[in-house]
Formats: sequence, structure tokens, C-alpha cells
Amino acid sequence: MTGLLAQGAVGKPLLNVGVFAFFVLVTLVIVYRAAHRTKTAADYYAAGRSFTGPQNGVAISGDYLSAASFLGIAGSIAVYGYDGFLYSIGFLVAWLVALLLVAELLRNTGKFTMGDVLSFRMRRKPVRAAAAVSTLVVSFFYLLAQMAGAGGLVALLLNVKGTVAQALVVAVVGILMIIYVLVGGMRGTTWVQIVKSTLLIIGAGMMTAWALGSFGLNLSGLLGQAAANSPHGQAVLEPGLQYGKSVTTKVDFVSLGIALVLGTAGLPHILMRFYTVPSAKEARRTVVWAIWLIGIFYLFSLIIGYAAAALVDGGPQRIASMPGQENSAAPLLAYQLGGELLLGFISAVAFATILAVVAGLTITASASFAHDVYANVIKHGTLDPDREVRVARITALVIGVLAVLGGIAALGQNVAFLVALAFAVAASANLPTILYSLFWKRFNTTGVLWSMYGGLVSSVLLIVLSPAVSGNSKAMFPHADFAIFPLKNPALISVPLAFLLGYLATVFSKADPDDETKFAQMEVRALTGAGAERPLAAASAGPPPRASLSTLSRSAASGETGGVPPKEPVGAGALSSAFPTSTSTTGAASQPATAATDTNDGFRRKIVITAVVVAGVTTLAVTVSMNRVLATSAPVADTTPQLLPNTNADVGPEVAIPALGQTIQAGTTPNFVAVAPNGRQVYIANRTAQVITVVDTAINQVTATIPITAGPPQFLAFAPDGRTLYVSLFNDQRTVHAIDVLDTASNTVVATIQQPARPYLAAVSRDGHRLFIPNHDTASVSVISTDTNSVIAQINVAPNPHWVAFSRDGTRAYTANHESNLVSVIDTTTLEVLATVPVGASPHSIAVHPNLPLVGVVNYDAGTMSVIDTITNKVVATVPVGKNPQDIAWAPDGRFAYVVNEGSNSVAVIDARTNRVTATIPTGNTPTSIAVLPNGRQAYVSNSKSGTLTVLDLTG
Amino acid sequence: MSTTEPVGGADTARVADPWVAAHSSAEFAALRKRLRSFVFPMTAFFLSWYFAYVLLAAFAPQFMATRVVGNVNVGLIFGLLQFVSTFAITTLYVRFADRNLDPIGGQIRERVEGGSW
Repeated sequence: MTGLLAQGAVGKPLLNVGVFAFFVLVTLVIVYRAAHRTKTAADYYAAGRSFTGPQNGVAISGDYLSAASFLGIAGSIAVYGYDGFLYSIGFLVAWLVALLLVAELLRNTGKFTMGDVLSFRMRRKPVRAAAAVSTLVVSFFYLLAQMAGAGGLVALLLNVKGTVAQALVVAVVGILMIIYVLVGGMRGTTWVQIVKSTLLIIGAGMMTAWALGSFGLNLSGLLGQAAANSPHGQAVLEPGLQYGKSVTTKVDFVSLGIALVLGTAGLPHILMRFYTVPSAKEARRTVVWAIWLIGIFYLFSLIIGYAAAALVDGGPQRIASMPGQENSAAPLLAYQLGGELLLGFISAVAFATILAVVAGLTITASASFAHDVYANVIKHGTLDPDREVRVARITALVIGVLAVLGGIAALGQNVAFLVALAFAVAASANLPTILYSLFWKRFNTTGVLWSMYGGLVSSVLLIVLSPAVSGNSKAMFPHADFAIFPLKNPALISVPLAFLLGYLATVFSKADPDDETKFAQMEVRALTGAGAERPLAAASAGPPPRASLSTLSRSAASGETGGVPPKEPVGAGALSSAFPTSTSTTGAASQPATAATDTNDGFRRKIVITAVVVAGVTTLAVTVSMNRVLATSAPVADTTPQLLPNTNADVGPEVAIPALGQTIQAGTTPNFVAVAPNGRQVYIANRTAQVITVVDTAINQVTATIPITAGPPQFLAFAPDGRTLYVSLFNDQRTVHAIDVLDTASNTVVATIQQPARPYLAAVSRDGHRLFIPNHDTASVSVISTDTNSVIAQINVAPNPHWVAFSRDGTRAYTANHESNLVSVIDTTTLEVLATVPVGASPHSIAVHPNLPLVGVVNYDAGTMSVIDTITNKVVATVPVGKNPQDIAWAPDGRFAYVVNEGSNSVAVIDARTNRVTATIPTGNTPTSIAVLPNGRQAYVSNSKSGTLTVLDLTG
Repeated sequence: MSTTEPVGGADTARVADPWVAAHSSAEFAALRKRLRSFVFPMTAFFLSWYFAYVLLAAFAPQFMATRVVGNVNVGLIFGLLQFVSTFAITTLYVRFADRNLDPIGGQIRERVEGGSW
């Protein structure tokens, strides 16, 4: 298994491809079978309104449980713990807004799109245009996120690497999506959603039962194991790991909470699904089914997330280091539980999810363009429905191509950020207007425009100005800095602003003409379902309404365009007529009103421009003041450390994260670096060149190169006064075993002490009089008098001592014994071994904490750091750090440990207080050692295969 | 927010409009009142309950970390209670709508569509 994982893919790519292909084939058959029934506009947009509530509920939960939320939430819980759970709660509670306030009223009032509802009692054209703009923006960001996510998912599952291959995957997704949409329309994609959603929930249920079963149905036991496996320990079960860092991140979390709970009921592709059922009652059942399915699924994903942390080999650390980062948690758990087959199944379902969701988004966006913009704004509603569907299909094709291009451009972009953007824009631009339209009689066209454009502009502007886009290393543009707004999620500001703008604009403008009658009509329709769009089959069977209604409704709806066509009987004309206000005027009828419309249009344009400008200015003002407020409230004193490096959505004031500094050329094979006690120089052992390179730490340049003629220099140990450097020498042929004594004033070798067998890293006692040398091949430590350079004792320790370090008071020496997985504790007075402490596999290097009774040991083969309490001589913490940790050093103030991972080319930073990895910094090739300056400002890492030193700026 | 009834009885066109007539009827007023007196307080309730939870998680993590049973802490229980309340509100609303909204709404719809207004 490790072999497979080493290549980056999980499972067998070929099997995965097979399962994928099978799934795609099945969905294509479904789409094809649904296709022959797709003829009219209501078929294409709303599947003939023929789905039942439960069917649509399953489909809508399929739309909602996109790959981002399926893989993302389980992964967030696996890696960040509780904070991932918070997402799912927001996503679920949001459905109550849809259930209580939106779904039924929307179904009763509209026809195909959000624009239908909003324009019902307003001036159609500007309102429809605004609704279409917002729909297109939200859907497009959502599409980009799904497309980029598809690239990443397939990279993980099929071992597809490289930009070209991933771009190809995105293109294939795009082509399949276009086929679904063009052939199947809404009916085809709905059936795909139903199948996929059912499989997804069954699959997740299986994994949940399996995972819980392996803990004997003991949830507490599962949680405990997850905490034990996590580098964050018990904190994964508590809130705050991801958002608890500072006041800013906490406020950001509240802002995210607003976007999540208010965004759902404003997502156009969710709203449009309410039109696929025959009545408001079915829309209600839709939401009820959706709430139960989504709720149960999120409960599953809570278990799956923690189970991934508890059960996957290597735990959260490995999950976070996989190609798909935390998104790989659910697939990895599937592999762990059910092997290749379950993995293939879950992966294929995830892939089908992406296909189905992008298809739904494309239909929504194409409907909004064809129905709102093209048919009603550009063609003034004179288009016949067949032409409209044709336009919608062409639009779907264009959107498909754009989404592929955008998805390729967005590859490697932050997927969570794009989804959050869609939610924030939906909550800001759409929801206030929807609620006002449905519940506030006085609301008018001016209010709609201010609220929609204001919400749209302020949310997008705030995102552009946020730390997610610029100003730090994890931003979209890491090298630019225009992040003057401190929060990543704009909802806290933009949602109240959109509500306020809608209110003020309405109050300070004239009511729309005939608003009262139109509102009366809308409210009666919304609450009772009178005159609502009927299902195709049912409509022709049902009794057509009497002519009196259509004649009368004409007078009720004589709005801006000056006339409406007679309402056709619903049975025959449901498709073309809809309700009087939202369809259009015939060409002849609109003639008299043309002039009035023109002036109105000019007036509206002014309103839109003013709304945009004012929203922009307000946003900027709020931004600056917000920035001030949060800047003065400094980060919480007891700062929780930053998390793992791959935090997609994690941006903020950074503590405990060293910055990558410069890289210094340091010979051919710099295998060990040591800092002089005064901190002015670092000395580097270059094994193959047989030289010691000296770097001045003030200028970070090589100032001397000292030849070592006796053999390859391997390790370096300074005397406490810094005047003498002890150089361990041995060669591959095992013919040289010695310690060179180097005078640092003259940089010359003054003595050579022969040793029995491969001297590893030595150490000079605190008083400077003794040198302890671990002899790797004889399982012993030589004690040498530094005054005479002669051996005064041999201490036998467990096999293969690598490293030796003295306690602060000098009474103890600790050796890391590589092959025996033991640390020996030596009394430096009696020279006896007092204790042996079992640690992880292959302890390589050891370092004594500068002020606490702790010793840190890195275990090369276990990939962990063991922390030993030196009072009890017991391991008190085991921290996964990375692959093949080879060296460890403490910060001089003891707050952090720095571990060099030779196998993952990185330095892990560990918070000494919490024993959590707070950051992982990339280094050069094969880093072997690290040394920290006494002032704690910088650390130097030797990269033995790239011939360089990496400088880390520890003060950030 | 409450909608006042249309004032004019003088405008004959409006009186003739079945929508306006239905809108100003006592039945419709009762329907609207029933709907609003359920959904508005309920929305206020679940939003406050949700934001109370969000604020607690953000600003009182120590409280949320209090262990209750084994590794199950207050935060987890609060989170699960959000699920419970969501399911409960859903069920309550459906029962309420089926019993108290649909019958009266159906009557009004039939009268409007049947042209008896």
C-alpha cells in the first residue's frame, strides 16, 4: 500500500478509470432515455414540472451535496476537527430559510427563474437584467469551483499529474456536462442527480456504519482515537482550531456563518429546482426531503471525518499531505475500510457528483440568460418558446466552453474560496431582494436594483480587497497586496448593507405604478398557488380557468409596457404565457409605450449606476473603518497557533510560521550545519568535498572554506566557548573513524582523535571539559577529556547511538539509539546509564528543551517526534511531523521545536505548549540538519542534495 | 411589514380585479396572518439559536470544550442539537402547513381560479 501511495495515487488508477467509465455510461443512458421527452421550454428548464416532491428532494440534495461539500467537509473534520462540523451545521440550518420563507412562495409565483419572481410586480427589464447578472455571477463562480475541484479529485484518484493532463480532465468533464445538458435538459440532469444522490448517501451510510462498527458503535472511542492520531490532540474535538486564532478570524467565522445560513436560499441553481415539481405542496415536500437527506448525510460526514482521522494509516498528517490534501480523507477512509472496490465506488460517485452539479449549474445559467436576458430584455418577450430553448441550448454550449477555459485557469486555485464567494454573493445580492419582494408590499423597482447591485458589488469588492485575494503567501495573488479588508468572507458587511440599501432606496423613491394591485396579485398567488404554473400533463387534464380571470388580470397587470397579451388558458398555453406580468407584450401592444420605456430605461440606468457607485463607496468606507477596528484589537494574547500549511481558507496574522528566507550556496554536499555559540558564523560539514564551509550570519555569505584532510566531515560540535569545533569524520569504506579538533580562531585543525567506529554527533559538556562521542557501530559512548584529548571512559548504551545531548544542569546526557528505538539516560558524574526510554522507530536526533524538563527526539522511520519528560523519563507526547525526520532543534525561548524532514523536504514547526505542528516549511532537496541562532531570529537548514542552506526567518 | 387592505372601493377596475378582491377578503387576511405568525417567530427563533451557537463556538471555545460523556463535549452536543432542532422545525412546519394553511389556501385558490371573485 505504501508503494502505491508513494506514487501519489490511491488504489489502482486503472480500476478507478473502469469504475468511472461505468458510471458515466450509466448516467449517459439515463440522460438519453430522459431525452425523448424533452421538447418544450418547460421540459428543458423545469422537466415538465413532473417530478414528485421526494424525487426532487433527492435531486436537490444531490445538487447541494457537491463534491466540495462531500469531500470538503469530511476532510475538514479529519484535519481541522470540530471547525469542519460548523460548516455542515450552517449548510443544513440554511434550509429552514428555504422551507419557511422561500420555497413555496417562489414556486407559486415564478415560472423558470429567479428573475420571474423578482420581476413579478416590478419593472421587468431592469429587474430581470439584475437577476440574470447575479445568477450568472453566482453560477459561474460555483462552476469554476466544481471544475477546479474535478481536476484535483481526478489527480488524486487516477494519478493524473501535470497541468496538461488535469486540463484534459477538466475538458472531458465539460464535454460530458454539455452532453447531459443538451441531450437531457432538466429532466436528464435531475435523474442523474437522483441516482447519484442515492448512491452517495448509501455509500456514506455504509462507511459510517463500518467505521462506527470497528469501534463497537462507541462514538466516544472513535473520537478519542481521532484525537490521539491528530497532531492537535484533544483540540480536534473542540471549536477554534481553524478559526480561533485571533479576533479577526473569529469575526470572520461569524461572517462565514451568515453567508452559509443565508446563501442557500439565494442560490439560483437551488431555487430553479423548485420549478420542477407540480405544486407548492410538492415544493414543500422537496425541502423536507432535502433537509432530512442532507442532515443525515452531514451526520454521516461527521463520523466519516473523525473516522478518517482515527483509522487512516498515518492519520490526519498523511491525509493533509496527499495530492488532494484534506479532500482525500473520505477516499482514503474508503480504501482503508473496503479496499479498492469501495474506493472506486466512492470516487466514482464523487466524480458523478461533479458532473451532475456542473450540469445543473449550466442549465440554471443558460435559463437565466435565455429566459431573462435574451427573451425578455433583448427581444422584449416576443420570442417563441422554441426559439428560447434553442437560445438556451446555445448558451449552455457557450457556458460549457467558458467553464472549461475558466476551470483550467482556476486549476490549483482555492476551491473553498470560490464556493464561499458564490454563497456570499447569493446571500448578499439575491436573498434580501427575494424576501423583500415576497413580504414587503412597499418594495419597488428602485429598491430591487439598489439591493441587488449593492449586494453584488459590495460582496465582490470586499472579496477582491480581502486577504483571500492578496497580501499573503496563501492568497490568489501572493505577490500583490491590496488587502485592506481584514475578513475573508464579506457577508457580515455586504448582507446587512444589501438589506439596508433595499430599504432606503424603496423608502426614498416613488412606489411603482399599480404596485398595490400587483402586490395583491402576487401575494394571493404566492400564498394560495392560484394561477401557478401547472405540470404539463396535469395542466391539460385540469379544467382551464375561466376567461374572466384572464381578461381581468390584464387590467391588474398594466405596468410599464402599457399592455399585456390576453392570458391564454393555462392548459394550452402554460408554456408561453406564464402569468400576465412576467411574460411579455406582443409587438403591437408594446408600441404605444415605447417612448415611456425609453425614458424609464434612461432613468433606470442612472439608478443602477448610482447604486453601484454608492455601494462601492460605502463598502470602501466600511472596509477601512473595519480594518481600523480590528487592527486595534490585537490578536488574542494567548494565540492559538496557526494550523497546517495547506489550510485552503486560512489567512490571517501569522504567528509561529517562519518565513522562507534566502538560499545560500554552501558547497556540494552540506550534510550538517552548526551555529557558533556567539551566533556570528555557521559551520557546514561538506562530506564529499571534505571541507568545512563557514558562513557569516550577518551577510549570509561564505567567508571561509576549511579543508579537512583526514576524511569526510560528517557532524560538528562546538565547545561552549566557541573556540573549539569538534568534527566527526568517517567514510563509506569504514577506514576512517576520528574526531578532528578545529581551532575556530585560525580555522585550522589542531589535533585528530582516533575513534573506534563511526563517531556520530558528539557534544561538549556544559563545563567544556568533556566530550561525549556516540560510536555508532560499537553501541558505546566515548568520554574524552578536552584538556588532554584522550579517552577517559567508555559507556555502553543500546545499539547505534546517533546523537548525544546534555541536560541544562549538565548532570545528564541523552543518547538517541537508532536501531533499538531507545533513548539512554546517562549520569554524567557516575557515567552510568540510569534509564532507557522507549520512543518511536529509529530515533535519529535529540535536543534538550532550553528551559523545561523536556527532551525532543525525532524518530526517522516513524515520522514522529517524541517528547520525553525528563523527570519521569517517560514519553509524554508523540507528534507526527513528516517523512523521515532527521534533526531537531529548539527555539532559544523554547516555544517551538523545529524538525527537519529529510523525506518530505520540509521543516515542521511544533508548538511546545500544545505539541501541535503549526507550520511546515518547504526546504531544498534532502534537508539533513538545522541550527538556530542564539537570538532566535534565524535558522539554517542544510540541504545535502541541493548543495544549499535554506535560511528561515523565525520571527515571521 | 404588515399589509394594509386596499383602501379604495371607488375604483371600479380594482374592485373587479379578482386578485384584489381575494387579497382584501377576510379569508386571505386570516391565511396571511396564520402563515406569518408561524414563520416569522420560527425564523427569528432558529436564526437566534443558530447564531448563539456560532458565537459560542467562536468566542467561548473553552465552554464548548467542556467534556460531558467520555470524549463527547458540550460543543458536539450543541452541534447535534442544531440538527435536532432543524428536523423538529421541519416536521412542525409541515404539520402546521398541512393542517392550517393548505385547506384555506386551497379554498381561496379555487375561488380565484373559478372566477367567483
